[in-house]
Amino acid sequence: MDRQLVAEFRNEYDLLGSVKAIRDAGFEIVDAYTPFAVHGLDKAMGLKKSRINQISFIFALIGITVGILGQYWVSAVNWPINIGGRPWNSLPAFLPVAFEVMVLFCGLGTVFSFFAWRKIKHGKSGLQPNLRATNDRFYVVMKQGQERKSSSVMLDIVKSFHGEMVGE
Amino acid sequence: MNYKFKIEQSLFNKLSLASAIGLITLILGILFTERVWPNILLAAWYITGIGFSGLMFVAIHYVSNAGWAVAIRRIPEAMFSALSIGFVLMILVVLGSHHIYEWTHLDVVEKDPILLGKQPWLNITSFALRIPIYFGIWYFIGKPILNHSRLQDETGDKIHTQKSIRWSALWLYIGGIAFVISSFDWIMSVEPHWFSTIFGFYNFAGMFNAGLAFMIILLIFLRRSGYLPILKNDHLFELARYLFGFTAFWVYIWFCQHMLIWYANIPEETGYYLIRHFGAFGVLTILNICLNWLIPFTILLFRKSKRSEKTLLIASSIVLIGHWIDLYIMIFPALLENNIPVFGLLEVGIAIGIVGVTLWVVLRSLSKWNIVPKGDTYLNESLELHT
Repeated sequence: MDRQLVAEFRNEYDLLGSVKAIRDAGFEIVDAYTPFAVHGLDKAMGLKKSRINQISFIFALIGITVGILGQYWVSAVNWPINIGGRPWNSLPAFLPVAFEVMVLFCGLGTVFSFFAWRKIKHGKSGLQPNLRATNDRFYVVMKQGQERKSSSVMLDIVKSFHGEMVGE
Repeated sequence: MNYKFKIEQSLFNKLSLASAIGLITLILGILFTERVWPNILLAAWYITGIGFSGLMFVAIHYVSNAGWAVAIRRIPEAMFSALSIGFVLMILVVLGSHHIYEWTHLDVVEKDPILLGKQPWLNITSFALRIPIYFGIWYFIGKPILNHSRLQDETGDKIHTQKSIRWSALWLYIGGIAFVISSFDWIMSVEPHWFSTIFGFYNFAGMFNAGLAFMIILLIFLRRSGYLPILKNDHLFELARYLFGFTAFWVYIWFCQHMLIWYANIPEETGYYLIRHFGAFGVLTILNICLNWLIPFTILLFRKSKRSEKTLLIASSIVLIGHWIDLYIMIFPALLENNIPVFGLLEVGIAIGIVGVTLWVVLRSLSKWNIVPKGDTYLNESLELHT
């Protein structure tokens, strides 16, 4: 595994600028830790678009199919009951329940597939380079390349944004 | 930040031509056919909705203390002036109310116990009196919000924002209730035997959809002609999300109204849907759902299409046409014989007139003031919007 360096910054503008500069210099950003959401950081870090919404869509499709087919089976195939003379297969009456089943499948499916994808389980503690990342400091974790002098280049960039290297 | 809109001569000529076509169609229609009256009612309700949704948009953002919409606020503020045309058209409707509203025929009312019971509210005197009351409520609560916003251009004082928040809260309560009651009054009473308590919300959803679509088209037009360089794709993105959400809200309310009436199966209520869901109007109802929800919803589902001018123009135009059809289905079926939709030169002419006169009034109001509210304390937040 490559060496990883941690840099600390005092505000989000320095963090954004340094992330851009480090990527321009050809290094890879592993992750960034900030006490609040920094707008534009995802673009600056070059993160790919999340694909979780496609998973949500698939779960929603499954949910609405289950909702409609399930009610159809219950009220028209398995145990038909005459309710006010309406046809057994009454789509308008099925829609609200089918909608709720869709929301349920979509919500739970998204959350649990996110857990599985990111390997989050009960009792897992968060990774933080320093607890101050939850309070008033900003951290960037960078991957150091094979070349020896790369760490000094990184140091220069971090220095130019008033940050300091705090660890590996 | 000093940009001012000016109506160019070529645009002015086009708008005058469209308004003139509408006016000539209107006069010819009044002279020769009864069918013009429901058309006037449709035009009045459409334009009132555009004007109302403009200030609704402004008021929602004041009350929720939102900063992002400040840079584009002058456009919905200008849309407020469309209410004046709605007022004029509603007065015309009063003159022709005998051709639209069944409850104005006194001989019919006397024989009908249901209409007799509704007579204290639904009679021509109180109907005519309530029109200036609704428009008065909207004007006298809405105008202070606009005045404070314009005063702030010069002073830059935050007291204007605070006062506007109070007026906006009042607008949301009283103006909103006035809108709901006016929709009962003007549209629902076309079929006086039928009633639906959710009807006001249903109209609100459609009206807000149309207002947002109108706003998006206007903003893109202003940016293309160079008057609004501060408009970012992020602003359009936020508006497109609004439109996306409200198309879903519209179909939600449509379904609520439909399903409850279908489920309860009471003759006096189901009659309304009987003439709308079968025959030629059934086709229109399906078209209505496609244009107001299915097509714009599917287009706007993707992030890229919410940020591109081209897809936004397509989706917004579809919603505006869909809103026209929505109102057509609400007003016309009770007045047409044999339950067959009529669509001819009269409808086209008046629709062109709606577009021309609304754009003319709104753009004229826009040209009076600086196009960016430069004194607003939230302006920088709005310019820095990032989504």
